[in-house]
Formats: sequence, structure tokens, C-alpha cells
Amino acid sequence: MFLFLVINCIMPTDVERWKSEVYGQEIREHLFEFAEEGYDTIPEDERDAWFERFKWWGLYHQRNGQEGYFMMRIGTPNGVMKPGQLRVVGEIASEYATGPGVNPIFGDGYADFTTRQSIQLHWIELSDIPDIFEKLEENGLSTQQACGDSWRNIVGNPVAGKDAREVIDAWPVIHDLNETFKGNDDHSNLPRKWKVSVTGTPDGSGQGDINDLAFEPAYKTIDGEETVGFNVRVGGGLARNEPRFARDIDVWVPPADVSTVAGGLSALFRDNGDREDRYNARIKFLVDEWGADKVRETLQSEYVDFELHTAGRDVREEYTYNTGDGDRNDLIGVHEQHDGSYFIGLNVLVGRMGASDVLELADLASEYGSGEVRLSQRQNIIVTDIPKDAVDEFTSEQLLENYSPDPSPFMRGSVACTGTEFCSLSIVETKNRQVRYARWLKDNVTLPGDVDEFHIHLSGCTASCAQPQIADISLRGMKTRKNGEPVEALDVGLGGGLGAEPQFARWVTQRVPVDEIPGAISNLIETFAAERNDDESFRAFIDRHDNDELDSFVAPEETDYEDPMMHNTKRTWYPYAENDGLDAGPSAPADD
Amino acid sequence: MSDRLLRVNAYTTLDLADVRARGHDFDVNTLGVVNVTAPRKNPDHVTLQVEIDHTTVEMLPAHADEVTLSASEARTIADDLHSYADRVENAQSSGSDDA
Repeated sequence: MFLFLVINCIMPTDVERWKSEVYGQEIREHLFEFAEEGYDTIPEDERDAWFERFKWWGLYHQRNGQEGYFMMRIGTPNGVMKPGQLRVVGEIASEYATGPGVNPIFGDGYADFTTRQSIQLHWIELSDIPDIFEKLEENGLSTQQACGDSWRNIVGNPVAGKDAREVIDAWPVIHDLNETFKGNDDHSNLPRKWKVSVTGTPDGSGQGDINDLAFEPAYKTIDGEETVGFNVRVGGGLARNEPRFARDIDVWVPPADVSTVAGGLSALFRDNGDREDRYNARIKFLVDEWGADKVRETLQSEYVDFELHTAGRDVREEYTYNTGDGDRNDLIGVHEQHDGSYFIGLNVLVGRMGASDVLELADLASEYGSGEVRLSQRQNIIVTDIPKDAVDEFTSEQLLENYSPDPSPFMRGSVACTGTEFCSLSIVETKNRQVRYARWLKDNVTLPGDVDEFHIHLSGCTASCAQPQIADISLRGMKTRKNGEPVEALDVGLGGGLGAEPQFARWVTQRVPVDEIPGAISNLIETFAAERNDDESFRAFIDRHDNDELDSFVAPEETDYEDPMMHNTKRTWYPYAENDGLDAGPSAPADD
Repeated sequence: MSDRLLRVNAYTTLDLADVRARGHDFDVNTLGVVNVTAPRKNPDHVTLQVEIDHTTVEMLPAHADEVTLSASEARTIADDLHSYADRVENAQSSGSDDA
């Protein structure tokens, strides 16, 4: 009791106190006990603490009204799914990711591919978790540290080791980092989440600029010989209404030293991050406070025992990924691998795929390729290792009519977070809405002929899980009043993107009713098509106009688009339920 | 145009509130966000936050206003809010115009 009182007094936040009591690997034992004894045995006054801890094992309790159901996140480093693993995910989704709510577009039982190359399943019951973990782990998959205050899923160019364009294979580095820092007690309890990107391709597809720690390909002359390694950037991130791009700390590392430098920076964050205020805990705020020079000096003096190199020659000028310009804004389509076979990026609209489709795609991946697939940061899936003479047959498969390697720009550019269907933070419906938007835009709006890609990201709140600030059109959940009634609405931002000179979207119009968004986008694109200079990109077009002009271009308008979710879906237990009132929600699932 | 300053999610007290921005030279009815919060660490005060949608009020720069309240002051406001809410509900239920 005395120890508890002391901890209670000295810990700055509830979460830090809960973490000081039980955190990291040891959570698993408690999780399995609760799974065995039943959800109801979690004391009500301890649920906030246990739900916070469960995140470390990839489990989020779902939103208000869905008591006892969890979202499970499976971390697949760099989005790499080895042969057979996609089938395992499909089988788990089919058997366990079903619940009392049925989605009118996606049905019951589906997998979500996320913007951090992970997989999310919903409606998971606590009693099923030991069986699911056993199946995952037997097949080399894990939920460990998929959430929580530690090393999250490491991201990068998903086709590392395959991509004909890469200048260095980042996969061995990522694999080593994953093996070193997952389950590492020295790095299991950080002040906040720790997001790492490692990329070996000069296309920007690792999106390092929006990560806490980024390793980007760069050249350095060592002993008279030009060597490929990585430049290091620190302190990027989109959340908390205060987005930052990662800052250059003037360090280049050879592949062999990445783990040491990454561990040093993780430890620097562990020891110096703000545990007093979780909203201020990300390393981006420490970099704001210290500056890049001090981060480098502290890393050098306290966390590594060799002389750091200064930054090498980067290749950022070659970046095209999510830039709104150039030939590789995403990894959709047919691309040559360095071994002469091909990887084919398939468009998974808003990242969601029904369990039966997951299983069918797993079969196709085995039939045509090696069975391996990769997940991208644009919520899409890539089938690898397809021989040249099988490409046409593969792309003619019926399943690919819904997961096209050559989709409409509005389909391929759509990214959406989870939204009020399951998320505790969101204030609007997202995934189904973005599907409706994309389909309407595909049927009703024509982009200039030279514009193949157009990115629209929809986030349900300011947490930025759909990365709205780095899209051509950024949509973010709000409310407004229409005909006297409160309705779901979206703030609109324009002109965000990555590349050599990344920039965040400018927010130009607030609270557009959701049924007027398609008309607004249509009007905006019509103006863009009419007034652009020659082959000017959308992002460049946005850049040269001021906010008032852009606001006038948006011009919200009703069209024949109809939105069935205008009402306040935050106030439902499940937006698509026939009786959707919060008091109509299911009770917690009974123990098996 | 700058981003919103207040976080807006399901825990925000009111993501949709009718607000009026009034000065000597302007008077605008618009929408805004209202939130009530307290520090997570050793809470010693309540904060009442208001952010007007700045796209509709050209006379003011984007900003959020925050009122720092002691627990007692917060309760005083809460009591007044309850009292006036009762008054409004009573008037509405009786159909009175409170003339």
C-alpha cells in the first residue's frame, strides 16, 4: 500500500502511473488471465488502466457502445507478409473479426490495411485472444507493440529488397531493428509512441518526413569510396494539430550502425521526452525545444561510443511518392523488380478488404508469385515475384476488378481512417463515406488527361490517422448545422504533399456539410482544369493562390450525391445498425 | 490559413456551438468549438476553451480563448449554467415567451 501511494504521488500522469505498475511484456500474462476468466473480471475501476496497457499488445477497446469488443492491430514490419501470412490473416478475420454490427458495404469480417503498413481487425473478443495470438505467432506474425508507448511498426518502401529502383536494400536493416527493439525492456516504455521509417529507394516511399525517426538513402565518401547508407532525420509527425516534418540532424550512418544510432535516439527520447504531459511527449516537441544541433550533440556525447559522420549526399530531389507530381506517387500498377520479375500494386479502396477476398488474394499470390505480399502506406497491397509472362493473366483475374492495378485516380488516391464505426476519437463516419465519395467522383468528375493521381485523405478527427495534411485534398471531421439540424461536416485543406520540399495542406474552408463535399471537389477540379498553367500540377496550382481564392474555388454545393450518414454517428452504438441509438448497443460478449 | 488550434474529437465538449464575435466595428454570428478540460498532471484548475471558426470572422486573427478557473469558479459557472438551462427548459415546456 505504501509503495502504491508513493507511486501515485510521484507519477505525473495516470498513464505513467499505470505503466509504472505493469507494462511491456508482462501485460501478456494479465491479458491471458482476463481472457480465461472473462471480460467481466476486469474491475470496472481498472478498465482505463488495463485498456491502456493492452495497447502494447496491439489491442484497442472499441468505441462507446461496443463494450467488450477490441480492435486488434497486427504489426507487419515494412508491410512485409511472407508466403502464407496473408492467408492466416484472412482466416483469423473470417473466424474472429465478426460482431453484432454488419457493414453495408464490407459485410461482416474484414481486414483493414493501415497507413503504417499494419493490419487491423475489429470485433475481437477477449476470450479469443490466446487462440488468435497462438495462430499468429505460429506463423511469424505478432501484435506486440503495434500500439502503446514504444517502438511501433517500422515502415519504409514496402518492396525493399525487390524494387529495381532501390539503391540499398533496407529490409535487412528493418528486420534487425524489429528483432532488436521489439520486446526490448530498455525501450519498451517510452514517453510516447515511437515511429521509425527506413527507406533504401530514392522515391520517398518511406514517408520518413512524418516519422519520429527516419533513415533515408544517402551517399557518403568513406576512405575515398562512395558508400550508400542513410541520413538521419528526427521529430516528424502529424498529430495534435501541430504537424512537423522531421528535422535533419546532420548524421549519416552505414547500415551496420543503424541499430546503434536508432537505439541511441530511442534512449535519448526515453530519458528526455516529456512524461509530464502526454500531449507534449512526442520527440517533435523535444526537437522544437532543443534544436537539431543539440539532439546531435547529445546523441554523440551520451548515446553512441563512436564518432558520428556528418550527413551524406541525399537523393531527396528524386522523391516522387505522394508529391502530386512525377511518375511514382504510389506503388499501384505493374513494376519491375531487380530480379526481372514484377511486383503489382493493387488498389484497396480505403484499405479495407473482406475476409473472403483476403483469402482469394492469398491464393492468387501463391499461384502467380511466391505467395508473398507487401502492404503500402497508402493502404494498398502489393503482390510480389510475378514472372513477366504471368503478369497479364494475373491482372485479368476477376478479383482484380475490385482491387485494380489501374484504378481511377479517385479510387487509388483515397485514404481514410477508421471513423465512428469503431474509433473512440472520431466524430464522423469515414471509410464508407470515402468509398461513396470516390465512386461518385469517378462517375461524375473528369480530371485533366495528364493527371493520373489525385489524393484525397479523410480523417475523422484531429488525430490525423489518415494523414490528411499530406494530401491534395484534406478532409477532417467536424459538425455543422444545415436547415437548422446538426449534421456531419468536414474541414477542407488543400495542397499538402511530400517530396524534396514537403508541405502541409492549407486549411481553407471550414465545416462543409458532408453531402456538399463531392460538389465542392467537383467545382474545385473544374477551376483547376480551366485555370492551370499548361501541365501544372494540382499542388503547384494551389501554391500560387491565396486562401481567399482557394476558399472561393471550393464552393460547396449539393449534387445528386446523397449521404445516408448525415446524422451524428458519434451518438450511435454502430452507425449502420437499424436501431443505432447508444442505448441499443449490445452487452459485452458472453464468455465462451 | 492556419489550422484549428483546439483538438476536436469525440471527447471535445461541443464540436458545434453557435457563437457571436462582437467588437466595436463588427458583429458576426458564426460557429465554434467549446471545450472544458483540466490538466492531467496534478490538476489545479479548470480551463474553459472557445475557438471561433476563423474563416468566417475576417476581423480577428485565428485564435482560441481560454479562461482559467479555480474549482470553485468552475462550479459557480456550472451552477449558473444549470440555473439558466432550467429557465430555458421551463420556458420551452410551458410555451411561455417569458414576457
